[in-house]
Amino acid sequence: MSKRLSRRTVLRGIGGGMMLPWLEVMAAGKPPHGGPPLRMGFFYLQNGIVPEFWFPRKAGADFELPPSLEPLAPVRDEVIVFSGLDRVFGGGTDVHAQCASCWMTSAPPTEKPDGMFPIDATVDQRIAAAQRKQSVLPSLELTCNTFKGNKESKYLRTISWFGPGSSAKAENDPRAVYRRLFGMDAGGPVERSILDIVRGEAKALRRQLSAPDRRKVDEYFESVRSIERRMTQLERRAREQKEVPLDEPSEMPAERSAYIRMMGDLIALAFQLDLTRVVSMMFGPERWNAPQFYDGVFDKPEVHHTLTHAMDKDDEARRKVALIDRFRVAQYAYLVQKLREIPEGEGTLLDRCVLTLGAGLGNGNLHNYDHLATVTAGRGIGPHAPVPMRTGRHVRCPEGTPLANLWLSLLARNGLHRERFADSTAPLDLG
Amino acid sequence: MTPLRPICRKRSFRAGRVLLASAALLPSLALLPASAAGPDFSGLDDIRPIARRYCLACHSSAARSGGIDLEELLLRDPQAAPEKWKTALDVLRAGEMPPPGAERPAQRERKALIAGIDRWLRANRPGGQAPAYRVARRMTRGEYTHTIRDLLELPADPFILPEQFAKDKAYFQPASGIMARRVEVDHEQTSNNPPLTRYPGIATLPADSRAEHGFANRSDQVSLSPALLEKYFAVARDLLFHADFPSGHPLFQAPGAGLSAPEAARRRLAAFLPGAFRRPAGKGEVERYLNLYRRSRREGNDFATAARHMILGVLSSPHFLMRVEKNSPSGAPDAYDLAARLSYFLWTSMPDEALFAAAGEGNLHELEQLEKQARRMLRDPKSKALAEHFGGPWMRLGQVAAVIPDLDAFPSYYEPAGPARRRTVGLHMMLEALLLFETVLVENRSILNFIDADFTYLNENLAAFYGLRHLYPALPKTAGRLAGRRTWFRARLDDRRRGGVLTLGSTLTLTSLPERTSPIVRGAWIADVVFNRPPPPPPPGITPLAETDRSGLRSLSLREQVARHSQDPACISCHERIDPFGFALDLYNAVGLWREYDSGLPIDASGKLRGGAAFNGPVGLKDALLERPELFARGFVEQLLAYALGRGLTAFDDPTVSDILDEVRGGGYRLRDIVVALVKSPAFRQTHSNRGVLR
Repeated sequence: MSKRLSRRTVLRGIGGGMMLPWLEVMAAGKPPHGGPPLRMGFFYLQNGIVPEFWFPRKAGADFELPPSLEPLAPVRDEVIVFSGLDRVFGGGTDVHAQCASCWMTSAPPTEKPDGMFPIDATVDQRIAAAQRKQSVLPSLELTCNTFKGNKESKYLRTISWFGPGSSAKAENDPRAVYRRLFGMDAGGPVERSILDIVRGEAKALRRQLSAPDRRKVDEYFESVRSIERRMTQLERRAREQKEVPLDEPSEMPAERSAYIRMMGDLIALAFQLDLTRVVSMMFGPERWNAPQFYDGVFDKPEVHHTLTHAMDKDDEARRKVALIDRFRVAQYAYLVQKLREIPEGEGTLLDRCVLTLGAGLGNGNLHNYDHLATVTAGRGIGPHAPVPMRTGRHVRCPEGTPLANLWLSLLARNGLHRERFADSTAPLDLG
Repeated sequence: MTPLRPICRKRSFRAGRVLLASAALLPSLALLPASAAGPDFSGLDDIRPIARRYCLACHSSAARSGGIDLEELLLRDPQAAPEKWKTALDVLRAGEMPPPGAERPAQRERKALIAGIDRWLRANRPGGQAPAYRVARRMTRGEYTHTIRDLLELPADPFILPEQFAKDKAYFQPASGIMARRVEVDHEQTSNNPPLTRYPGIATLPADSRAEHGFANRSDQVSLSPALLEKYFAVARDLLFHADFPSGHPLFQAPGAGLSAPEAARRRLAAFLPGAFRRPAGKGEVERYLNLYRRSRREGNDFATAARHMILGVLSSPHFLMRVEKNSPSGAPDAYDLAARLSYFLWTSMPDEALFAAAGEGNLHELEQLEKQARRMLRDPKSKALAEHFGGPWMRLGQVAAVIPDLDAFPSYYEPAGPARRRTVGLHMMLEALLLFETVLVENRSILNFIDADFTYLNENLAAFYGLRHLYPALPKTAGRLAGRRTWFRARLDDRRRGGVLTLGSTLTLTSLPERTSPIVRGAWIADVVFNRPPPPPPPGITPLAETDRSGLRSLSLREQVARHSQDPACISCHERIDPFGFALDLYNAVGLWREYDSGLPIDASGKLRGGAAFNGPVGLKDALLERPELFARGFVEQLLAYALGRGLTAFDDPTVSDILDEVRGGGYRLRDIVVALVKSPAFRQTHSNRGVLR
């Protein structure tokens, strides 16, 4: 709720550069171990992948990089490639709609809190909720969806959910992301008064309502609280006056690779300045059936979803889908490398990250939920997880291992120890 | 259909005991079905013999064909899966069940089955009433845009939303009851996100995604997050403080002599709040927001700035941003809440003064008054919103811009590349579709015009594209180069291959792939849009049709490829319901142009509906649909009801739809009459009971 300020003024108002805001958090003495916070990224691959070109044949540290994963070569030692992770399809919905919206869900497939969908608060939001007091933005939700029109429903466009029916609207414009990260000041007294009043109004209003209606007003109430917390955080940080080492993007990059990398740059900056600790990003929506130009890959636009339907019978289609897989992995690898170049504490920023790259469909042609492509990058060191993850290996999970086992382990690394998450059976051994 | 969660019988039982103990305190409970004695079978007792004879062989508890266990529903627990009753009604009405080859009930018996289920649904509605409205949620982008326009009395919407297509709306004059023969409309490049704004640099709101098989205003779909709320706040702030905001706006003018500044602020706020909150405002509320004015003045701001801060507070309030209704135990909503239901249904905006006054007089609940208001509102140009926010999404027009036909295969879809971005015929197609809907609305025509109409609107580009130049009058040379784009004429169609939504360029294009048609997608569109019976999603693990197959199947026609795919027993039961529609329309290519051959092979456009007649090509398909108008009318009314109520429908809504159809059938299913009948239905007029299973 800021007045209109020039961008420079705003930038100066942000705690920037190499200042380490987490020191304050440490001073509060909460986490069991010291050091910078753990940052979590979740990167979603739409329409599945070509398994043949993705999964390494050899397990363990000696694994080879198949064609689709080749862009990871420079950071091979920083990643874990998983195979054998599955989800279970809870019947009654569209396959594309459920694979995206329920990729990170905490609801087991047998439960359907959101109509026909097993949707409940997703793993990213569980982590964000636990940290919301320390972070300027509890979470950041992004999507690299540049398609025109309003084609698919939100289930095909949303991986991050606060709860059943309550989706986080993902941002696709890097300029808007920039403004969200840096475009707000701590707010003047009038702005604060407005928030005070409307928060009070919401609180009084919810008392007059029945349960389902109350949930909707709660969304409003929680959002106001989140904005207030963010202003408070900004106020606390306003003392360190530093420039933000990135200008507001002047336009959407025309090339898809540059566009996705710009999102990556913003994520890296948000992590570096501890503006947020939880990010989710979709490489694009499920299905959609519209052509997209993959620069440097094909000389004309291709329809990803249509290609996936031909890939099991048609070698050329399969090769093309694999190239799209590789293209997406390359953008992910760019971010991984970037985070490794940023020093933090004794090591690099990447050491204190877990960036999970994954798909909600196994084979995009068959629409199955088995053998989901899953890769993590980063060592996952954090105040609750002093022992680094053992990276540089291919972990072959026993047939039928739930993907939720990975989420359960990642929650634990954030200090959230639970018996179960969705249909998890046991934590994955990451250490 | 939104599936229901099974109703908890134990809970009804308890409610029944409460009824005995304290019926006086809880009058609404008196309408509960008498469930204390066990499940209620009213209506079902009569139909058991018929069902036993024709249905139970397959739909027994042992066989459960198609996942439907009628034995349980009929004999043991009708509430076990109420949504299956709706399925049963659908297949009975369409004549799809019993399947071909099985013994078929007489017409009289079929009607008895339908009547029995209908009776049971009426007797067992949750809470005993017609299932009703569900509202709590933030305003959608469309609602916000129009509400801001009306509340701040701006000359036009602050944004031109992609779903509106047309930049100017002057052509839309519903009071006349006639759509002009000639329509001038500027509709360039509005099909993109984010919306165009009349206030440069202002924050914009993102589009609301549609529900799976529903509309963007569904309360269970519309959610709010911190990022989104920030945007709503930012839009209000940017707008109020924008250089182009009407500088003489009466809200922010310094007060004249004889009135102190604080008193002026108070009076303006007191006058503004009821509109903003869509109900009278309490004294405490005026004080609360007036504090913002004071606070701002203390910061040294002038009157205009402080007044803006005060209004900004109001526009940030949950009472403004959230559509919430008072909890009403009486079963009837507050009169102001009812007024808001009406205005957001018909205008996608707040009530106007007349409606507000009617609510204040307290007789808005009377059917006569409701009808009077609804008819008045439908004559107001603001009712264009019903076409833009219901009609357009109903036809899935938002998907046209998402389709990018292959440039080499369909060059005529694109205009010659100019210096700016490339324009497509798709934009004209969307406006053509919208004009069709608006004509049916304004002229109170039968909705059967959507199946087949003897008119359409064409601009010069579209007439040339369709090969219908002879239907477009020559414009004078002096009209200018772009006149043909913005000048639309109503064309009388003498060829039934055009007319109605099935054969619109928009429909045929948005259901195609970039390089070819997809009979399956077209068929599914008809099942969904025309009949409101979306095919169930294909299960995982099946091999779909290879859409760009190069492995030798090329020598087969597309129809043969589709047929081969659909032969799989797991697939056939749905595909035989949808594919025939798509085959009939395969005589149009992927951008909606007529053709008789595909890849050198003649197109076979014949088909047969399960339980219906055989047909050939689009004209045959139209005739087959018109033969049973009630099936389409029901599908249409169901979707309109879901839009009006802001929720997905359940099986218990079926009787409401039947009642609306009874009202409008005699008049031939006219659109305005349908809207009025819907507004007068208990579902629209009543408040939800909080005990139901509505989502």
